[in-house]
Amino acid sequence: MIKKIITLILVTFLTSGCTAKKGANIQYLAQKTIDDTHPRATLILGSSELVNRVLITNVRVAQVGLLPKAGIDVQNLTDNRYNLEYKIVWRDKQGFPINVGNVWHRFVLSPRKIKSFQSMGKTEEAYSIQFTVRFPDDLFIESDRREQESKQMVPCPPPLPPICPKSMRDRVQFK
Amino acid sequence: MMKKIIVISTCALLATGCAQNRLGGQSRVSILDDSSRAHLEAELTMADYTAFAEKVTNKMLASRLVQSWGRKRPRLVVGRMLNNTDNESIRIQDIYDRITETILGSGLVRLLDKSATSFDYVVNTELSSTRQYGTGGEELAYFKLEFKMFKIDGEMVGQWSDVLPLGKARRNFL
Repeated sequence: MIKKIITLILVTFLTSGCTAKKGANIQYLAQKTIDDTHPRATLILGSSELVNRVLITNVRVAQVGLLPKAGIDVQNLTDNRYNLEYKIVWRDKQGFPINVGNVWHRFVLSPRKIKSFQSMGKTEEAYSIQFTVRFPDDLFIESDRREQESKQMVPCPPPLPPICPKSMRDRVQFK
Repeated sequence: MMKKIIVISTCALLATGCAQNRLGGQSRVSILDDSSRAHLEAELTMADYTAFAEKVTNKMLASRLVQSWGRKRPRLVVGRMLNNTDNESIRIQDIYDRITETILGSGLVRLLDKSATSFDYVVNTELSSTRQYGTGGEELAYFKLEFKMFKIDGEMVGQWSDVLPLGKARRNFL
């Protein structure tokens, strides 16, 4: 009996692991890089390396005339210097993005520094913000990173890698 | 026989592993994220135009003057943008269009053509730059976008600006 129960639990555990996550009816999947404790702000750290090193704090959303205004602070919790970039996306009450043309803005966070950012909603419908901080990323940074990675790997000399037995390499060369 | 097959499979696997690390495709052209801020030179890109428009209009719309307008929707002219940089080929019209797009989208003003003679406010815009070069090929360029708002009688009522610094590192010959 116990054997059967254990088997059943194991089978359930294994099959549940194989089930793909479905996200159509949720806003997003909770992760340690996402902070949604403010009712009008979703704060995202673009890398798990930034968790507990950089903190997005002191979110304020206020009305300025007809438009909403948001203020956000980013705090460096370490003695390291960080090159980062941020992007603010405003959303309406239904969650649709407004002014999606916003771009990434680079900034430097020196040790223990708190840096403030502000953004205007730009339309009356703007209601909440999605604020993302990440390490700078673009095509050239990514190319450089991959190139560095490929340089660190052991090269594979043609026609066969050095792992092949000598007898076999000789045979290939004779051909 | 079995041993040979295993050795050949391992070799093939390793060889393909190396091939995958090569960058780019045949054309070496990629479509970038439209919000990406990649630069090849210390010059402005289209994303920088957007960033400028976003930041300076942020400041303008947050000002006490613009707040005081409420729903009055005054008539505004965005004047011709001056290019006071050292680069004649900057697409000034694109920056201008980005600014008017943002201001118009806010719904706070009625935007008039530059040729209009009856208006409440006029915004004069200017793009300027400074540049420094190092002995090793380093380059430092500062671009500044400035808005100055005037009433029809010439009284200046607002001024907002933003600076974009671009730095190019030392050339590496080895």
